[in-house]
Amino acid sequence: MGTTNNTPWDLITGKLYNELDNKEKNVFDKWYKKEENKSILRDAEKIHKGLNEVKAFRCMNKSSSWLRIKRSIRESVFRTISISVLKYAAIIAITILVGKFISRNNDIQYAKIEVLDGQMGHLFLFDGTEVWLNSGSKFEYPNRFNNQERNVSLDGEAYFKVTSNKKLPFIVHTNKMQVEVLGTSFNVSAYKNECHPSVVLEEGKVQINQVNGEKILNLSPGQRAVKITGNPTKFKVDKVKTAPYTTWKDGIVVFDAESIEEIAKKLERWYNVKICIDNEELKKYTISGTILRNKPIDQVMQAIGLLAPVKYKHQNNLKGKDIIHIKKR
Amino acid sequence: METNDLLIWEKVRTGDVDSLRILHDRFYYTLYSYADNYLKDSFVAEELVSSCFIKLWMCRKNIIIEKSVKSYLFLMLRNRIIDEIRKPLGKIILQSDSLPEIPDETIINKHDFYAELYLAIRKLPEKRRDILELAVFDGLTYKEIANKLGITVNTVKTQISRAYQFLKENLDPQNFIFFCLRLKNI
Repeated sequence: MGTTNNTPWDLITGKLYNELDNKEKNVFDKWYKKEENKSILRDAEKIHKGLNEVKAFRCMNKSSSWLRIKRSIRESVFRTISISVLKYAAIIAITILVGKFISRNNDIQYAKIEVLDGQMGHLFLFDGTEVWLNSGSKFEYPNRFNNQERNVSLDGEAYFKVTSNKKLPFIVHTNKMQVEVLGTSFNVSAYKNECHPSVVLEEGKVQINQVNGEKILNLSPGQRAVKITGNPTKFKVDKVKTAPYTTWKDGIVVFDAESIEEIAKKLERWYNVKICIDNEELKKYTISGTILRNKPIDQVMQAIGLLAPVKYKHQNNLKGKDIIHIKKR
Repeated sequence: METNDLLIWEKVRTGDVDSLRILHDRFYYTLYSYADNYLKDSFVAEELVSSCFIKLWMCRKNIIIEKSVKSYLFLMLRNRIIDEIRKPLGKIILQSDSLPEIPDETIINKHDFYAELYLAIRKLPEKRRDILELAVFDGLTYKEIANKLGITVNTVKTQISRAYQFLKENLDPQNFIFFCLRLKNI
């Protein structure tokens, strides 16, 4: 590229703004004939086009943007300090694996994320797909997708908002089923150590397959499919209000006639505690209600105490998880 | 550069607001450029950009960023633009009715270029910048500018010429390569 010392910027800009008289036009054309000058004009054109694009930037104000942000987060700084103990500080472990996993493709690198008990995760896949991961979930995803499928694997619970791509189905692999979609929002609950993996569809269309890829059924929005134990291909499908199954990602959990035993299992995961219920009858007692996950466990136990005849004791444990003892009141 | 961003992000995660500000100042213009591309209302564009940083802060303990803080912010912004477009009163798309593109490296580089260009313009001496803005933003001819400012056409010519020279000399040459690739794809 030519040095700008000799560059006739007045001619170049005159040309861009159409302000050259005939004499100047001739001079310009002569200059432009030289190969090395062509690229200089191209760069000038890029600047010219760029300048047109930045017209609206005059309206933006970086410092007022920051003021707005500062105002909004001021309160949250105080809230963070008052929340309980560092013991719950969970680390999200990210390890990068290289190698094959599900598909035949060799060169794709996979990242593995583990969201520990007491934590929650949110990330974007590189195609724009959003994934929310619930406590105690393990998730594997490639850093690029091959050109036939988008494959990820899940052991736990996740909510997906999949970027639409008709040419590339998005497949969630779990240990008992596959969920295949083209572009849609849905919840998958498939913890390895639980028996009834389920899928709830909010928007779009999904297909549930066996682990070997064979189709089992299609789901429509507003439907929930729950796998029946023992049979690799049987699912029970119901029409549901999807919110109770998906609002966990926003920190809101809805219990709809769930047993204390079931609820305790979830609380153990979300708060990273151990819960002991000594009364068999109590375990089967069902309650319905809503809790906010950002409240401390004690507040949650008190709320449960309003809905069921329970009393609880919170045993602090310096070396391991805290233990919550639940007794009949 | 990206590893540096990740280090700053780790500080944000521990509750360091100053680090959030560093990320904000670093990415603000590029993000704004992307948002402005799709929204007629500049104020809404700015609000959406601010809201991304607010969300980044509020959810910092849950957010998983493996490689690029910038990508995460861009994808967050894209989703917010889409939500805004989908609102019942949302007739605010500037371009056609296609959704905002997934911000890949090429697109992000394009907006980096615009951001850099804008910052470079601000470095011009005031008179020169005024003349340039009249020519670019207001579309006036040299003669009209000369009349408006009470100077000669020759002065306008020289000032604009010097402005472009300054911009060319002060912009990162890398940006021209990426930008060139982008233009080729159109």
